[in-house]
Amino acid sequence: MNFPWKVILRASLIGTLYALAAPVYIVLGAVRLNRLFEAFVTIRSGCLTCIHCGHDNVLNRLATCNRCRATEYGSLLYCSFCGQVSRYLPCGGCGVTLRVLPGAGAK
Amino acid sequence: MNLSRSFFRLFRREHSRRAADEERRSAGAPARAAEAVIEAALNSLGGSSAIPIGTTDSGRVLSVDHSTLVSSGLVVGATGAGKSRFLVGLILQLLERLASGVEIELVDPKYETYDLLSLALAALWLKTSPWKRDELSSRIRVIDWARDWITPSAPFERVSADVSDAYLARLRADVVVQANARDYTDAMRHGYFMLGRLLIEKQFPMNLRFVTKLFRDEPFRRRISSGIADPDVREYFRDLDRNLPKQTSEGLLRRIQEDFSFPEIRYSEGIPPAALRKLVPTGAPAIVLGNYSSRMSLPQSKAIERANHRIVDVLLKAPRRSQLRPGLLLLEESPVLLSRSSELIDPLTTAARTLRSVGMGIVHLAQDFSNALPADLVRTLVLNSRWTAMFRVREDAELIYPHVLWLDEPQKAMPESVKRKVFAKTMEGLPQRRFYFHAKGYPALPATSLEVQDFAQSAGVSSDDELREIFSREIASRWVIPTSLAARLIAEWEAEVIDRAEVAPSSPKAGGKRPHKSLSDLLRDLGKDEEAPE
Repeated sequence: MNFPWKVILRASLIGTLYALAAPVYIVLGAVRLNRLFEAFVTIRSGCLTCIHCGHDNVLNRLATCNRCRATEYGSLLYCSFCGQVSRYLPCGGCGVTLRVLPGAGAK
Repeated sequence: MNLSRSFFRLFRREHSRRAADEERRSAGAPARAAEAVIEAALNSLGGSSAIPIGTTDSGRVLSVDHSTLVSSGLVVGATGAGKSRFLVGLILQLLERLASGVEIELVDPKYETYDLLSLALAALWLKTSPWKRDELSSRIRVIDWARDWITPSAPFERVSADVSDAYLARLRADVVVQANARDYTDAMRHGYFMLGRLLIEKQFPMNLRFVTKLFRDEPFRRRISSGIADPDVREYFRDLDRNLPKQTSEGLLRRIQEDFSFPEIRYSEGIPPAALRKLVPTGAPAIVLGNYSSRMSLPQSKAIERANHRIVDVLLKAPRRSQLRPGLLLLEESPVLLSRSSELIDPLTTAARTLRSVGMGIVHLAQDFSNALPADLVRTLVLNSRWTAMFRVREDAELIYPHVLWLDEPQKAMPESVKRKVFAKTMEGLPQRRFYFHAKGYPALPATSLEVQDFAQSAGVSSDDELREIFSREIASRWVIPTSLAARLIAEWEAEVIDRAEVAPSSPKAGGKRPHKSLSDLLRDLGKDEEAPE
């Protein structure tokens, strides 16, 4: 039985690559976690101030789900009937789209 | 996304609770916002020199900056709603609080406001220190008339060098023609206009004997017209028989005769301007009280005519007035005045637009403002008014409706048409002294006008009649003259101008007319006649 040089080589190579990429993943993960944290802080505060017009958008109010059309008292970003989570919110003052949760297309 | 979903699921109940709280808070927010707007309006309306005009529902004094109040405004309300008392309160506050002084002109064709203000001024006179009473009296000018005494006026006196005789004559003719209950043909109106130009040029008063002689006596007419500088007027009267048909001039004479059959008119307008200048005290009064009511002793049309003559005087002098003292022309029962003289509408609307620049405002008081005047005039006056005080009204509620704040939540949720009806009902049932005040740029504020005190009680006299007597004796007597004096002055003028010995007509040539010896002689004589100066 031959010594598994190839396996060891592949594993060490992958390990090296992971070790090299780890800082990048760590940074990306930290950034993403930070964004999530900021979003959750905003959601917990219950108010999102528009950066364009300064209008205070209340997040917890009587809202209708865009997908299932259910109306309930709760968060504007979440429907407890269908589980839909919205990442964006139209500003009540100027109508501009405001990002709340990070996700695809978010900047 | 799962992390987010888990998060929301975790805090679902709390989000629901906070959403329900937010909903409850926002339900009360509009009322709080409206209260804040009212509070801000009350603070801002006062400005640097606040004049109190009423109290709000919250018990605060509704004070308005004097610069707003001396601008053009509207006071609208039904009979007995409190307009006149509001106006009297406003005038007294302005006189009391404006250290720089204010010039107020009241034109009252129904006597009530004049009477109320005369009581207030008599009470003020009584409360003033004895050594200051004379000064107070000199600052109040009174225009009134009765059978035994009158305030003399001279409608055909030149107002200013800037105003042409023709324009003044035209305004006077239009006021007379439109106020008169009898019809004037176009030729009659033109005859009156030309007569006005002659009277202004010569500085003569309107006098029936003078006009009769002018129309019927050709030598007299030639003598009068020879001294007229304006060639247009001179030629018109030289050739009067051709310019004014006999029937027209007789019709015009009949109308003038009818007008001058009332002693109040004959004596007040008959005094020549030169004599009048010696009679009337000089100096600008702070307030001019004009009573133009007929008081059932002479035709209403004549009272309105005199009021309109006065408005013409004020409007013509307004552009040349001092800007240092704000001025206010108060027109009681404005539709009564304007509906009788549509020619006044144009100068009045122009004045409403332009007099701001000379610190003067016109305040119209009316009962049924929207219906009593033409719609375009109502629109012009509303657009050019800086403030409106609306008492109990019906149709006029529409003028102020867009500026009303709705504090009651159920009413706020009503459809627009229902809200209009509710507001109209509210305005129809407003109690006395209650009104909505709207200044441009502010919401309409509900308030109650200041209570006008009992003047007799405050002055320490037994009755209002005693105050009236004091007003007549101490204040009005400076500006009125007995009719006997007026009659003497008129007689003197007539003796000087009308009864003056005529210049003897040129004597016929010695030997009389030479008989024509031939046809050429006859033609030569005819030619001379044609070329002879008139």
